[in-house]
Amino acid sequence: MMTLLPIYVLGVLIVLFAGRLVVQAARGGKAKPVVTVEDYAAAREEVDELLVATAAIERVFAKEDVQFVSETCPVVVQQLFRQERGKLAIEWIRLSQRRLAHLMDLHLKLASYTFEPCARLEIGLAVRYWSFLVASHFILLLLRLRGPVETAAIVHYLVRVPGNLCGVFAPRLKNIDLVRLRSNVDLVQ
Amino acid sequence: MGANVVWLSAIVLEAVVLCRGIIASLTRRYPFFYIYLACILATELVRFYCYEFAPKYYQGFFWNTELLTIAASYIVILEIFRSSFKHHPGMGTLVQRVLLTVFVLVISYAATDLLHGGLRSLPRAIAELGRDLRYAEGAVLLLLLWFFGRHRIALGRNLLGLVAGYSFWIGFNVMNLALFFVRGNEFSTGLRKLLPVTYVVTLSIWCVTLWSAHPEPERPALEVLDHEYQTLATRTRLLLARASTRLARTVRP
Repeated sequence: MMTLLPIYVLGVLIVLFAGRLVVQAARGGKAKPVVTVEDYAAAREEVDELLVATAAIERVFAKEDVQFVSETCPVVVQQLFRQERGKLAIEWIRLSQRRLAHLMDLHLKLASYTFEPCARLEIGLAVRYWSFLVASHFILLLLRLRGPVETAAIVHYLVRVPGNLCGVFAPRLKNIDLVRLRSNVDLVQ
Repeated sequence: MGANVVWLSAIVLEAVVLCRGIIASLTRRYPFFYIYLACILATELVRFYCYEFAPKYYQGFFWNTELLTIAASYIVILEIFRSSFKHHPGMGTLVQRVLLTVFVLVISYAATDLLHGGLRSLPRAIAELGRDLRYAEGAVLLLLLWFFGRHRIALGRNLLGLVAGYSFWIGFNVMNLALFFVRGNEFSTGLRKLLPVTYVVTLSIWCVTLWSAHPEPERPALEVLDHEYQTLATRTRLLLARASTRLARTVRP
């Protein structure tokens, strides 16, 4: 029975993918049928705009304002402040996801019309896009659970730990004498 | 009696789809599909005749013709591929390579499986070969569907109906065949009844969506893009990289 499991999955996936195709076609019927280079350029500009305007969003994740509010304001105001910041951060990440999804959508449509699409490049792009999606969903989850400031601290920690470990291990690895290590291994054996 | 009603309604629906195809000139647009449908209709009529007038030969006849119809159904895959990638020559070449690789892999696996199992009886061997051909077809169809979804390939109402109906039929057929070959299920009447019903549903989908000819999606005038895939991919890659870096920088001030 277990050996037949991939076959059932195959059958179910065929039906699901066909259903998705019908839904996509039903939704796409309302949209513009033909994608142009101008649409792609406009989508790129939208993403660019989002990337440029992040100075204010960086402030949402910064500690300074939270410290100021927690030192000077009552608890109710602090809570309100955190809630508003959390909402803003979530909205910004969702907007980034939407705009990048739109860009990828247009890219895929345009790429399908070209004469020489490259499978390797497409796989690379897909991996990059999925990495972005995974990272952004992880951050969204953290934002919902802990709020923007704690999320920044966790991400900072997660990024810093491997760097610190590398910093600790690199000089140690330099000092290892491979000849001595080999002779010690031989002795143990 | 119930089984006969389903069977007869399938024959009638096949005839209707075929007639509408001829009237609406869809036979010229999708010739392979209508050849397949004509083959199926002829087979069904002969099967029905055999079932009514020579029932003791029916089982052997069924499995032999089943193998033939499964082999013939590959031309529907060919039709879907040919019609859907008409305006996407580059993507078509890419997909063709992937599909051929998957097909060769699945068929090789099925052939070794068949040889390893040994030829106990001819009907059983034919049935197993038919099943493996269907699995291979299912794998190829799944890949095609994935490509359509990923690259948002516009299919048009007629082709979409053809693909949706065919996928529904193949998907349920694959699941049904898998269940059918589980020990103890060989004589399951429930499974035997389920498949004709799904086939009638498929024919109904085809009947509705292939009733009249709808315009096909046109190829947009994108001459500038034809040789600019590298530029397009590089631009998208750079933007994705910038977005990822910006996300990391923003969240980690």
